[in-house]
This record gives sequence, structure tokens and C-alpha cells, in this order.
Amino acid sequence: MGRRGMFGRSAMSVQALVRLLSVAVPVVMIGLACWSPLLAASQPGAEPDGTVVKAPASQQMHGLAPGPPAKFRRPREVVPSVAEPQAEFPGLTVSQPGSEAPPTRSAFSESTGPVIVGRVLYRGLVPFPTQIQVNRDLDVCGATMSMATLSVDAATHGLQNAVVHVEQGAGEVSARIIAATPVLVRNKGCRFHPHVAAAQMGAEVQIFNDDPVMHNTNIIVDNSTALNVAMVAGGNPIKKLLKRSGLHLVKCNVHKFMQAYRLVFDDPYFDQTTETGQFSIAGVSPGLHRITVWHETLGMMEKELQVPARGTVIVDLEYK
Amino acid sequence: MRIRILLAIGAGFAMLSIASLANAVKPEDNQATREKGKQIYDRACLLCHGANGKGDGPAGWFIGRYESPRPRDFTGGSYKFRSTPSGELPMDQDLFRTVTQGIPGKMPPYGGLSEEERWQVIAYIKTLSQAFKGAKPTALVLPNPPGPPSDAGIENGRKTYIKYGCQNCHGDNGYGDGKEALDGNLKDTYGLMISPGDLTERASLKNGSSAQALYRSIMTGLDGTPMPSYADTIGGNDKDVWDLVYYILSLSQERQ
Repeated sequence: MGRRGMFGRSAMSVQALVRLLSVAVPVVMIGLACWSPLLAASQPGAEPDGTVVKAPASQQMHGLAPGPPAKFRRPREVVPSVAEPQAEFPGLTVSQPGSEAPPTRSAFSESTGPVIVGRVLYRGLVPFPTQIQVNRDLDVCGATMSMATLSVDAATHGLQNAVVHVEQGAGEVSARIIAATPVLVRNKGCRFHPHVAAAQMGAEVQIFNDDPVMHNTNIIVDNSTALNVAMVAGGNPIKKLLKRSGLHLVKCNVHKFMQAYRLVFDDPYFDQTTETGQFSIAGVSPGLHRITVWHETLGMMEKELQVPARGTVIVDLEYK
Repeated sequence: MRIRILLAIGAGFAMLSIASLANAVKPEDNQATREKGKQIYDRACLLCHGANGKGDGPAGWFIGRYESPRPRDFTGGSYKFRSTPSGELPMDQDLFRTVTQGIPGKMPPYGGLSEEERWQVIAYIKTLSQAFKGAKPTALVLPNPPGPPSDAGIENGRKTYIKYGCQNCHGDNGYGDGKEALDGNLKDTYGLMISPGDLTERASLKNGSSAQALYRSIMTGLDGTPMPSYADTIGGNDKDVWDLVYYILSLSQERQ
């Protein structure tokens, strides 16, 4: 009754309403059509083609935010699994989603799974450290810099600062993060400290400048800039996540003699050799693996290694 | 009365629609767009950037063969001119700006292409690097310049220039003749020699010479070159950065 009464007041008002609508509706539609690209572009998380980008599985498991984006993932990396290593190595502490702290190296070494221990050796001639003339900021850097790129223990021939990595086959990479400790790059005395370090992708790199002069920390991976930050004297430290795997060359463009290396791996199966060339890698799945060694001047070396289900594998890797 | 109101609403919508046309030109990033972009790329970009975008086109053979910059290798996913933090991918708008404005002395401006064509070629260029797949770069906050510079501000800019170590590469007076440059120590990420910008010559400022463009260069750095990003280490010290920007601009005014 009410509706009829409303529309049936007079023929004139109905005609006027129809006319008005015939003008207003197209105008509104044109307006909405032109707005729609803007509205679509402003939707968070939506790609132009409608896909929604999800964080990598490993990042979700460890609660690492923002974590390594999918763009830097290598093809050989697979979606990590939490359940598998638990079944294979019951003694391992495996980081669960939302758990407080990921397992540390010591947690791995206490596990009952296989452990690869060994030494990296070098019996060749060890050159004397090179003396480099410093051309700027002598009061901070000193007049000369002693650069030793090869550090070998005289008694054991153990090579320091080599990085050993055990490659996993497809489907064997676990979700464990080797250590929550950040990777340090400390500018001190016109040197980067430490000179060499290894880390897992997704770890945080922290850059400090302890010197009263300006440095820049230019990290280069595969001929492109991973991070290039000015380190003004007294400026804020830098904290960024490692988003790429591979060899990270660390340079300062203000002091050309400053150079360091960070090796970043997709998985936690790596170690850096001690002063006597020793390393230890735990948690590797049983089977045949390729073990690679990197050193800044001696280069790469690799070897096949059979890993049993349990026990310790002892291996000596020697640069010839 | 009603007619007037509705007409006013309609006119409002029409004006808003016209205003939004500039953005509406950006086509949807789909297969058809990328294919059109490739056709444009093949006739406008291939000569320098190469058939596969590796920066190895026929003209690229002699451009920057022994000295940086070379034509951009699009497969590397690393870009100098960004509004994003160091090491991050550029925003689409950054690529659009570079295509539109060109790079003084290096790359011609492509304003001759329609806006739609420029967006199409950008959609294609992004397919040349896996890094763009699913990536969501986020731009730094780049504010508008404050009011006109004061003498005291420019004086502070000079102090900031020294404090930030600009003279190491750009020289005491901004001529691009800093000690590291003269000693030939400055290299790009490919190991090619690279010269710092001559700050007294605005055409030497490849990322643009407006106050905002200079601010952007200082904060984001120029990836692939020794020019670092200052955003993190001096974060929150905006006044010094703007004073530095106006000091740098004053260097080229003195020369004109």
C-alpha cells in the first residue's frame, strides 16, 4: 500500500524521476569505471593480476618478519618441513611455529643424528702479510695496514676462515635456523670485523661503525648491490635481513683496502673453520652428499661424502 | 531542486573521472600488455639493452665498454634510480620516471611514447628478472622540500657535506674530483671505473636535479655504484639532509 502510494502520486513526478535517473546513472557508472583501476591498485596484498603473495613457508614457521622474499629463493630450495627431521632424528630440537628460540649449534651437536666433523688443511707456502700504505684517515687507520688473507696453524696445518657446506638434495632441507644470533659487520680500525662469517638466509645483518670517520658498507652479491649504506661517524647502526644466498663481498668505497666476506646459505648445514681448521656440521640427512669448501684466496674445493644414519663422520679436506 | 542536486553530483563524478584518467592510463599487467611492451622494447630499447635485456645490445658494445655506466642489465633486478631502500627493487613509478625523463647524457627521454606505451614497456622489462615475481617493494617516505633555503641552512649544508663524507668522492667543492675519484678507486659492482657526479653541473645529476630528486638520491643511494644510502644511518635528521640538498643546489647556481 505504502509503496504504491509513494509511486502513484502523480504522472509528472514519475517522469521527472525517470529522466533524472537516465542522466545520473550513466554518470555514476562512468565515474565508478574510471575509479576501479585506482581501487584495485590500492588493495593491499593484491597483484594487478589478482594473485596474492604469501610469505615463504620457512619464514612463516620461524615467525621471521619480513624475512626473505620469494624473489631471492633459489630454485633448488624446497619447502621446509618440520615433521621430517623430527622423525629421522628424534633427539633434535626442532623449531616449531611460534617457539621461543630456534636451536643453536650446541643443540645440534648433542643430537643423535649424524655429525660431520673434520679439518680443512693447507700444507703449501703461507705468504707473509702484505703491508698496504694507507692514503686517508691515517690517525684512525694507521699509516700502514697488514693484510693476511691466509691463516694457517703451524702445528696442525689447519686453515682458518674457510667455510664448509654440505649440500642437501631436493626435499632434504629442514626448516631449522642454525642460530638466532645476527651476522655482524663491524667497522673498527678501518677493518671489517669479522673478516669472514657464514650465515643462513633470513638472519639479520647488523652493521656498526666504531670509528670516528665515515665508512660505507657496500655488500655486493652476483655483481649487484645487496646493500650499500653510509656509515657516518656516530650514526645509527644498520639492521637488515639477509635476503640473498651466495657469496657476499663486503667493501668500503672510502677505504679501498677494507674488504670482507659473508657466505649466506639457504640451509643450516655449514660451518666456519676455527684457528686450527676444525669444523662440525650436524643434522645432515643420511646418504651421499657433496661437501664444498670456500676460502677467499684458495677458492672452492668439493668432495663427495657418504653420511650414515648415525654416528660421526670424520673427514679431512686438504687444499692441494 | 532535485535536478540541480543530481546534476551537481553527476558533474562531480565527471570531474573526478577526468582527474583519475591519468592513472587509468596504466594498463593492467597481463599477457597482452607485456606482449605490446615487448614490441615497443624491440624497437625502442633493444639497441642498447639487448634482445634479452642483458645490457648487451649492438650499441651497448661500445657504450661503457671500459667505463661505467653500461646500459642496464634488466636480468639482474638491480636499479640505480629508486625511491626504495638500498638493495630493493624499484617501484613501477620509478621505472616510469626514468623512461619518461631519460638519464642526462646517457639515455634519451621517451616522452615520445604515450603513457600507456611506457607502462607497457615497463610491464615487459619486469618480466626479464625473476626478482620482480611476487615482489612488493615499498618506497621510503620522501617528503616535499621545506620552504626556501636560508643562508644559515646552506652553511649547515656545507658542514653536513663534510660530515657525511661527500667530499671523499665529489670533492671539496663538488666538482666530482674527490680523492677516491682522482685515485681511480671508484668502481661499480662489475668492477668498471665510475665517476662521481659533478655537483656543480646539474646535467651531471643523473637521478634528477630537483631538490626532491637530490633528497631521494641521498636517502636511497644509487645501487650498483659506490653511492651509499644515508636513510638508515642518519634517519630522523631531515633538516641536515635538506640543508645539504640546498647546499648542493647552490653549487650549480654559483656556476651559472
